Amino acid sequence: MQMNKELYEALKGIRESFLDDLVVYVGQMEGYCKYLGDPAYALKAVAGLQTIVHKISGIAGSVGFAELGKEAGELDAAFGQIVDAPYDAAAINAIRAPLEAFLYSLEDAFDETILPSEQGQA
Amino acid sequence: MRILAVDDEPLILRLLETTLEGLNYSDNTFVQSAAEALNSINDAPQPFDCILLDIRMPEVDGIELLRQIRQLPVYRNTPIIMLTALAEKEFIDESFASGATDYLNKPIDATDLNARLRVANLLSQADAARQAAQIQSSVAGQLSPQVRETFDISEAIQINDVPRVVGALAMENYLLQLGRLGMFKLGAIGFQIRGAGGIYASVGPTEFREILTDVADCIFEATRSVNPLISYLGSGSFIAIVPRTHSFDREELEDNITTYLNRYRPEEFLSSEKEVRVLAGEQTNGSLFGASPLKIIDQAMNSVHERQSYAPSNLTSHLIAI
Repeated sequence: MQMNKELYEALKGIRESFLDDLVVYVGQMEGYCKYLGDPAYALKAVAGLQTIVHKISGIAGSVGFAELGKEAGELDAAFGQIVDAPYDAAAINAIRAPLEAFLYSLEDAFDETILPSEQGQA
Repeated sequence: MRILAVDDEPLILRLLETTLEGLNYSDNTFVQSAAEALNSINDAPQPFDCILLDIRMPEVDGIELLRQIRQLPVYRNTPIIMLTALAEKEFIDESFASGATDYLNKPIDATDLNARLRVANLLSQADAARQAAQIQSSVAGQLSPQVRETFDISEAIQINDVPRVVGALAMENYLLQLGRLGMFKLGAIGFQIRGAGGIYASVGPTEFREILTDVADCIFEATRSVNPLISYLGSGSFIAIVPRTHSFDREELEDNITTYLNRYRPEEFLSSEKEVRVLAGEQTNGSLFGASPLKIIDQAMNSVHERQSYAPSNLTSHLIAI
């Protein structure tokens, strides 16, 4: 698809909205993370985290964050396995490291301000 | 082409709107839930030609919505493309078994989406032409559209109302979506109605469709323990995709199908030219090397065609033509 100016502006707007959403998502994810150690709420927290990473995985790759989308997709699948099984503290603990790495990736995403194709625009 | 897109994520809908307009699809409707989708379908002055469905949505998910849409007679053959971030086999299986035509993973790739929509457009046009011909034929014959059928024996018509039976194109898309490793985990069994050409000539399209539906149902009954995916390929040929870990005994399979079929067929048809018998081929399993949907289907169908003198005209040419 040829990238005309109108399309480029539309995609830029979507990307900016995505970054705005990320700010909210990071706050929500940090909130859920606090409950991961609580057996009574851990599975609900994982389900909440899964909803967020699923949203990110669906759109990140389309707005210039392919790696972030991939990471989110992997976490989505991992969270899904935890949610579909009985409570398993070890499985939840095992997900903490990739989750933390993902939160760092989200922070990195905020530093991205130039669209990959922007440099090619006259 | 009138497109309905359903996704609970507003940003995805914005992205889709931008992408579709960039691809010159301008007659689009965007909704955020299954309930809104069903309302749009009910209120639409003309049926949508193609539907894009997200899977994971609150309340009613995309697969359940897909099932509900397929219950509507006018949407039985409408191309429905699942557009989702979910890549696990269980979702792919469930989507195609529930009536999806195609399955596309997010992130949205404009080129890929365009290719799928072009195929959807062709399917939609073919379906509209078929419906128009059926109505014309009904008017000429003073019969209702449901009664009068018009299709050639080689046509891979859609078999409806049988669990886990999908269209020929959907079957190909399913295998493609699984990829090489996914296909390796599968086996395929070909089935052929013996003397299908003669039966078709004898009974005509309407009754032949009923026979095909019965046969599809019997194949499903005989293989249902392994959750098969079944497709009609035209010319009286069927394919069933099963897990390679389960090995079916060919003779037992044929016997079971015959037993089930005899329940459907009137007693006076047995041992007459209207008797329907189904031959099964040996189960052929996917290969890690050079596996392709057409190759798997070809191998399975060759196995069954070796067992009878009647060989239908080039089965996979129909798939390639699509």
